[in-house]
Amino acid sequence: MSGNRDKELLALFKEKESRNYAFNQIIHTYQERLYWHVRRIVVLHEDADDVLQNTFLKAWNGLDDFKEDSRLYTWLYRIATNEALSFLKKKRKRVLIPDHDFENSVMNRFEEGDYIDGNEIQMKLQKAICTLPEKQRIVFNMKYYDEMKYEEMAEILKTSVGALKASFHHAVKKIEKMIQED
Amino acid sequence: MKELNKIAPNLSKIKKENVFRVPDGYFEEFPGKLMERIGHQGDRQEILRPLRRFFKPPLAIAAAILVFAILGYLSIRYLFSDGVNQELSPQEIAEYIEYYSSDLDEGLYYEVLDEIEVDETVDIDYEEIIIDYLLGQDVDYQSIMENL
Repeated sequence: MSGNRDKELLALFKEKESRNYAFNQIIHTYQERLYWHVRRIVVLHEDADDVLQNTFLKAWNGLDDFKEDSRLYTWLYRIATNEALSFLKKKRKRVLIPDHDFENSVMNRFEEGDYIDGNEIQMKLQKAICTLPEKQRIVFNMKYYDEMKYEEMAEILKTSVGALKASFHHAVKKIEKMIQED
Repeated sequence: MKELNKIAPNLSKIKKENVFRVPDGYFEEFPGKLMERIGHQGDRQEILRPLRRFFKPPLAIAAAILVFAILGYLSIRYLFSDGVNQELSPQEIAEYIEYYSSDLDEGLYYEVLDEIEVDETVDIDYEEIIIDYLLGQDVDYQSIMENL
């Protein structure tokens, strides 16, 4: 979506009469991209649905204070990422999973979850991705599947381009090794 | 992604596909479901707003009384304290350690060390820690990768 269209929608959101219409348009525009991003982090559809709803609720409550120095898409993406990560953190605490076992629990979610369907090689790739540490998994997914620029990712994840490049490079090497081994 | 072909030839051969699915009509229904939730949130705020307005002044007064009561209690405790809880000077701490350290023997230290279990199952990614450290020291990313 163009920056101009975002500006139009933000202006409409500030007016009481067009507030709902503008937000509805924002949801229609960004829901799919945000959903897939969140789904790759939390794996299960039901959890992704919860996280996506919370993301848009936070956006609704915070949009009045949104400073237009960053793009609306980047802002939403950042909320979605934080929501997904804190969702996993809460879940981890609730089921008392130690941090170093969490990659296995992500893999279990993958094996048990509904609405997951792929051929053998795709499933092998997904399982390899599941073994990555959380931060690397997010960086890998954003670069590999969402084809995001490092600069955009740096803005969303609040980290440096260099660190992201290193993280992606590292993730790719690990996945390649796992694919080769099988 | 040329970079991917070079560092991961097997991965770059795999077709990029989305293995996740959603229930039928999910994206069509989602905006309506969410706007309904926002509507309910708005209704709840409309109900809570007059209640908050009504309870806000008494709550503020109660909070102020509580703060004064705590401050008063702490002041009285401080004024009537016998000096037992007062902080020790560095010199007193040094004298204390010197006095009691003669009672400790080396064997005791080793016994304590033996009791500490080291979890060897935790996989620490040293390479990543080193990369993060070097990046923090402004070392060029390319040269890190070449030297690893």
